Amino acid sequence: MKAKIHPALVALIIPLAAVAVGGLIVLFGGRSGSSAETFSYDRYIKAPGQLTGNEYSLRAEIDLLLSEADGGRVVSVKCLDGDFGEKLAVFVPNGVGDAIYTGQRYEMSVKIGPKGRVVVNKMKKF
Amino acid sequence: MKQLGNIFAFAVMVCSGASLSAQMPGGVAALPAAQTPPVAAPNPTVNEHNYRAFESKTSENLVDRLFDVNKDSFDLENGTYNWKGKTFNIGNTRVVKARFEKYLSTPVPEQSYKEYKRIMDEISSALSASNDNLDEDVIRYEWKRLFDAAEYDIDGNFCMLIANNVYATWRMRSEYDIFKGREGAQELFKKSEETKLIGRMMLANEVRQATSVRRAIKDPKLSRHSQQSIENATQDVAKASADLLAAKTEKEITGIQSVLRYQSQTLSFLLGRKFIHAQISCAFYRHLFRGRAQELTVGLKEVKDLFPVSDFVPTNDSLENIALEALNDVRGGMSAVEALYSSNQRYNALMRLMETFVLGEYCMEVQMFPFEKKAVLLKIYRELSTIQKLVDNKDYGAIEESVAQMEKLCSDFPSSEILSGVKTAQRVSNMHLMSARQAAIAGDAEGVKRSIEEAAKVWPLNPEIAKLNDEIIGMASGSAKFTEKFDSLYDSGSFRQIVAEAPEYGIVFARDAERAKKLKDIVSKTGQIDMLIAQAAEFVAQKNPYYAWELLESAKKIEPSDPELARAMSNLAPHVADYVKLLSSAAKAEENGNWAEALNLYLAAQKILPASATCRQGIERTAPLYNK
Repeated sequence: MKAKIHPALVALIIPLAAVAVGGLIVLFGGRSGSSAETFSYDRYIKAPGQLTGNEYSLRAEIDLLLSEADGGRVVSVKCLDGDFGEKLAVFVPNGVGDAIYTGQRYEMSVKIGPKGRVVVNKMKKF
Repeated sequence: MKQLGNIFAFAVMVCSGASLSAQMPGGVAALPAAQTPPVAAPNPTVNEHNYRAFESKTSENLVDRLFDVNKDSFDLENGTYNWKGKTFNIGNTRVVKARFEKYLSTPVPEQSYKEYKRIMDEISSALSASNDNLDEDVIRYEWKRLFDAAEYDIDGNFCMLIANNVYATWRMRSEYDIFKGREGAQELFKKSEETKLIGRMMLANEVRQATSVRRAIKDPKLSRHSQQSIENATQDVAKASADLLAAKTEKEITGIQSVLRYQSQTLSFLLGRKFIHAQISCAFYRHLFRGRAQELTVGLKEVKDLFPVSDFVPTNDSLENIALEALNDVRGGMSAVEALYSSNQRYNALMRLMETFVLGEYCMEVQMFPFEKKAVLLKIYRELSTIQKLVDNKDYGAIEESVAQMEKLCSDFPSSEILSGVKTAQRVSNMHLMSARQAAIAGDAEGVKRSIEEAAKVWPLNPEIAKLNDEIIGMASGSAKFTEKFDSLYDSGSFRQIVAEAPEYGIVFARDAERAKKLKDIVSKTGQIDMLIAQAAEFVAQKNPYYAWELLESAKKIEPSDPELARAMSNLAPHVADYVKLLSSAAKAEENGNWAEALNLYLAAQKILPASATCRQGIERTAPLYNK
């Protein structure tokens, strides 16, 4: 006996599948391929020590160069995610982001170091 | 105050008068001993202490002002009383004061003053100048009345002196008459001796002319006899002339003695201010002596001093005039006393009585002043003496009480003038003490001493002097206590307590540079903190609590432990809890060396108050250390 698929059903499934694939691409394909959790400014300010060792993704806008430090720069950035506009000081090691200017927006991969240090491992403009 | 000076000057004058024998300057020796007590030297100590009180120029001027009636005045320097151009020596006025007090406290004689006055008036009237060529019997009758007058205590037996003097004059007049008779007899004897001499001389001349020269030569005995007879007669005439001269001299001496004795007594009455007796004495003299005897021969120099007029010829009448004028003045003075007393002006009544007493101490009108009135005036006088002593001692505090007492006794007492003088003296003294206090604060010991001396000079019993002494002693002992307390408070950081007593510490540390600097810093810092707290309060009022907190944070950097600042911050903290919490966490993280955490906390706080200097400074401080 020969199974038959109704052509209308096929016509419905195909667009849905396309939308689903597109959505997945958008969801996972746009974040440098990272699967890290989004940085929560609020949690950091309340207890930075509890976040030590964790890695987060952070979308932020460059605010000011606060200081030149050994091995890198201390830069303040404005968070663009949940805690929008909050300023956060991050350490950008040499070689991670060479040409940084105020107003640039980056998608960063940060790791919370000891004593509340926020170290940028990777950063990519967007 | 000058008025008070007058009072005191007079009182002291009365105090320092010796006897009111009223001797003439330089004429003491000419008067009878009984009437001439020694003249005491003026008491310069009394003058100096009494008259320099209350800025009086001189006591003499003051007394002059008070008693300047026809130039009457007291010369306290020379101890004289000038009355209408006549100067009486009152000498040591202390005795006079005693006599015045005795006068005020002595009851009036009980005998009839009117009867005595009637006798004196009768004598005076009967012997007046209008009754010239008075019958001897009348004079003798009035002389007997003198004994009647002497019976009265008020007379003081001075009428007896006059009576004795008149009697002595009569006795001398009898002697004079005897000597005059003897002189007449001598005159006749002399004339007979002269006649006898002339006869003998004529006889001798006839003998010479009748006989021849030859016979005369042959009988030389006859010639010699005639010559001897003439010589003898000449000697008899010379002796008779000498005897006559002696008789004349004896008669003249008796007359002069009589005049001198009488005039001396009269003059002593006058100079002793026994004017009624001087006047009666003059009246008797007028009828006892005549012609040139009316001119004064005794005490000419003294009387000329009494009358500073050139070409003045003193007579018995001029003495009587002085006596009468003085009596009139005394009567006028006592009338004024009575009138003032009746009108309840008792202080002025006392003044007039004192003035009148000096002149008319022995006059009836003064002596018969009612005792009950004298008793009232004595109370006033004693209160015046008390005030005078208080002024001498410069006890201005007690003077006020005495003046109040005096006002109760006499409503016309010039208390306001006295009290204003007292207030002035007190103020001057207190101003010196203020200078002393300032000098003490400045640590000028010499200045303190000098100012206290000046204050004590003006008002020795000023109670503020003792108080200042206590303060200065307290300063010395309190200085150590203050130093100890300051160190303790400074070590415990209780600067607010130090500031509360900053003026006292400032005085104590005037010479302690180290502590003075600490004190200055504390006061300065506390002032800045107070200013910032005040500004913060203003920001709170303007609904700007974060700026207020920022100011308080600035104040905290000046002095973190200031209790007022802590109170202000605790009050404001609930209103800025989020900001405070971030800053507090940042500070804590910074303290722990968690620089990154601190930096992010400062950044979080800065978002609340972008202009925060605390945040900016925290960021600048922690950013370079972020990676360490």
